[in-house]
Amino acid sequence: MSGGFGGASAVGRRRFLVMSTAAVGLPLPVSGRASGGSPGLAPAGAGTASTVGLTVNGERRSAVVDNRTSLLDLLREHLGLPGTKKGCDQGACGACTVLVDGHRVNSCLTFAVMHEGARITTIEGLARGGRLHPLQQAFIDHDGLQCGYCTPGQIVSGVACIAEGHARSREEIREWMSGNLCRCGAYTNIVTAIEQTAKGV
Amino acid sequence: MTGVYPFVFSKPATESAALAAGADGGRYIAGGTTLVDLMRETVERNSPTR
Repeated sequence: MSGGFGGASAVGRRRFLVMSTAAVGLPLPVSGRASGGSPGLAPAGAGTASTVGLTVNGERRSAVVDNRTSLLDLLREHLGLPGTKKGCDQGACGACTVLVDGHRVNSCLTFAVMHEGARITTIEGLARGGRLHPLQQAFIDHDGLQCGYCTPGQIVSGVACIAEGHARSREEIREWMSGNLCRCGAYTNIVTAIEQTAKGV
Repeated sequence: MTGVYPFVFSKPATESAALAAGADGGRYIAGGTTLVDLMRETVERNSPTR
């Protein structure tokens, strides 16, 4: 292994780990048939892979992916945005919550190719010019996290919950945030953070 | 991306094209809450050639 651990901080933890392993090229399973409907086909007949272009956090992004790639894996593995977390990969926990055209979506349960042209917002897209989003600040101020793994999903979901008008009381917040689980049990403070942000405090 | 068989994805622009795609062995996907989970467990299996 070249470089040693001192190189990790310069290149980023993820990239260092990838560089350090004997990585082989990633083969895309490709069917022999040409497809009628997939967008952006290469002439080689890549019927089961597609080019998908979407706007992520205000930036136009594009990737060639196997059609089976979830939106979550597109963000984390192909677009370099690992802030959104994979908790269950089954749509049960909400850690993967992102906004698609303003709507809360479990990104683990939807295929990336379904969202051509969509506007995606992830946790990385909430801060503005180095200033935290008010809800991000509220999570810090009200101690709305412990291990932090559910937190990106909680915050993205909370932003939309407030925008939907579903944060008018603690009871309403609990109901409309029930898709975001927290095994550390930080719910009381999560609700407070959302409640206070909704009030504009 | 565990288990899921490779598939061809299309987004038909007309109702008739959508009906044709479904009649031709395709499946419709909306939120994916059921279909994606079952595809991952290979309970839902598309033909390997499509």
